[in-house]
Amino acid sequence: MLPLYLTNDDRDCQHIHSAKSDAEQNCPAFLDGNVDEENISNLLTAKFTTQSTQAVSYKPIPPPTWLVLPGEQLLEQPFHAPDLPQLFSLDPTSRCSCGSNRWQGINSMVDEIVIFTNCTAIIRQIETVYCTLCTNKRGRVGPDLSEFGIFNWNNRIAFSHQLMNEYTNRFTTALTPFFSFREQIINLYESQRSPRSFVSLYIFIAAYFRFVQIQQLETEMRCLHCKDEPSVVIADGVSISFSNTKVLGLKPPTICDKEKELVKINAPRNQSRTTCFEGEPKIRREFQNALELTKYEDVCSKLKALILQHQVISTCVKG
Amino acid sequence: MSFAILECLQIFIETNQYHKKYALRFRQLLRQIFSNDSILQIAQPVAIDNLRRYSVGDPDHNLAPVVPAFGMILQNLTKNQQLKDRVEPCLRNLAKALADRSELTFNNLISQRQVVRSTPVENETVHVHEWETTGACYSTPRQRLRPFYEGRDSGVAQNRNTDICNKYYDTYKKQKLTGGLMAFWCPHLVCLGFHMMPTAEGRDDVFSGIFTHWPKAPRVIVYDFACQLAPYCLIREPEFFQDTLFVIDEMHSTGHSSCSQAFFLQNYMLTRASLKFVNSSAAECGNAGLSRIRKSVSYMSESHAILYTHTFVSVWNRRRIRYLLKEAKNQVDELRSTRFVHQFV
Repeated sequence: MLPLYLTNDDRDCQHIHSAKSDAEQNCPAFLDGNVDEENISNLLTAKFTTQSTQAVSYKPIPPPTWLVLPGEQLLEQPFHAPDLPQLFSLDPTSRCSCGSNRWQGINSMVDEIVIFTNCTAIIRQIETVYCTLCTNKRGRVGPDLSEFGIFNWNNRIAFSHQLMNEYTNRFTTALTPFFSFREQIINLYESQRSPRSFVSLYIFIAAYFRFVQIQQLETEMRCLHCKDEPSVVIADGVSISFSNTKVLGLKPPTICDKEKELVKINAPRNQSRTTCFEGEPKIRREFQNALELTKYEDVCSKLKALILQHQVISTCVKG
Repeated sequence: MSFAILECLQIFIETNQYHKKYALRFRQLLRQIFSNDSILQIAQPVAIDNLRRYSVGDPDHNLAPVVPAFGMILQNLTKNQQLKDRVEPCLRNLAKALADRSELTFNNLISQRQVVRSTPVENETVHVHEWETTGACYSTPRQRLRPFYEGRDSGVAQNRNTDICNKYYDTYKKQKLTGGLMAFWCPHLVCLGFHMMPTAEGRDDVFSGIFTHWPKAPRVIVYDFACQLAPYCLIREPEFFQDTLFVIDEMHSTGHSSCSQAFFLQNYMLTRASLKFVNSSAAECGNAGLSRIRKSVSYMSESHAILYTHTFVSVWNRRRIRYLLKEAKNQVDELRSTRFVHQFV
């Protein structure tokens, strides 16, 4: 039995989570009830994350067949548009994009859903109910549809897994930005006389990122031959970067905390002078230059001259 | 200058006309000795025992893989007994001098280091999908925290020393963008981990990535700036990296004019069987693949950039694993068919 009036603590709405998470990151004192002018000003001027965009689909999505590894249980089912039912009904696993699945006993409604596939849009019916938690957004509980190879974005728009996997395939094999992929799909839709045109770039990008977030693509990052402890590791930096202004919470392993881990090193800064084999850098350089000469005769004569120059022959004889 | 080196120089002057290959190898050893490189690169701590054994006259077959400069000379000496008798005594003295100096330098590095405070990593809470916010994704969970090294990590820009190799990345100098991505690969082109860098820090990124996520330091680290990475790692964590060989990959070695051959991977490929077929350009191949997403990522928000890169790496790894499996299967099939044919023959 649901309470008549839900307090803010009971509600599981996206905007509350998002606001809380932003406040926690940018102004923790605000959450502790310390509501002074400085904290309010901090909160208002802080950089906020864009509100996380959730989808109705939430069940783990299998990796595409061309990426399946041995032993994986979750396998992709081939997508056949003619096999799709006319109506996608609610089932016990249905839920709203806010994460709520409280819908039992409420009257359902049937609406149109557009499924965007690789070459055309398909129109079907979908059964939904209003979500009891995010009433402010008029969110609806709908079926997950992953069993049909469909990613339900918001009960009105859905994408075939095949389409999303196609983009993954394209951008990992050749330079394919979202824009150019969308343009290609738009052209295909036009030639196929699709009943609906393709979605906006913004929706496609948002849906794609949510799709890969729940897709089981992650690997153990281990090589079959090297196993757990690769003896040879090749490190390299690559300029895959984004705008500095968009940095929010990157935590590379280079971050260190003096209060937790502190090591004192009492060694001179110029290490090359203290750890090289021996001798002054100038003398070493002279010998090295001599050894780099092309002809052996020149090398020998130069070395002889250097030995004499540094008056080391006597040391050698004494030794 | 020590007696051992002077003796070697004189022997080199006297004997270089004997054999062309021998003279070349001897010259390479001398060039390493007179280079500015750390003794711990020429004679790694793991090579100390081998050098000592050789210096007292024991034939040590494991010397060549750990100190290739020595190994290659010895290989060329076997053909000429007269030359061997003349050269070996001075090489034994040099081996002893190298071992002594290496041991002393390594012990100094350890004694100069003092742990002030330490926190076990168990105290840190780790979330399953932490990489989505931190931008750091590795095959293993974090093993230890990166310490602050007082006396080294001052935050002040490092003084450029004219004696040492200065290789900097021009592409990272665009101040409007983040520092890029540091990726770690195995020789079979499987990505073992990566992290996004707010600012390009080069050596620190490699050091921190390995020190914080590897349970045990790898035996070999191939990096295009290894000549600076080796001293950076060894002065901070000498014990952790004592068995690690830092080398520059084949492709980038030509750009390091002031580094000795002790830093070049191809030098070790000749004497170390495990490195003979290592694809040192694996990172370049991986990065060439990653460059396909450079343009798209440059316009993305942080969370999208991390997710997009992670998707790319996951797909890449899956493709690589599938390829390796297919290759292994083909080899087995080939072996079976060969046996089948032999049965009939």
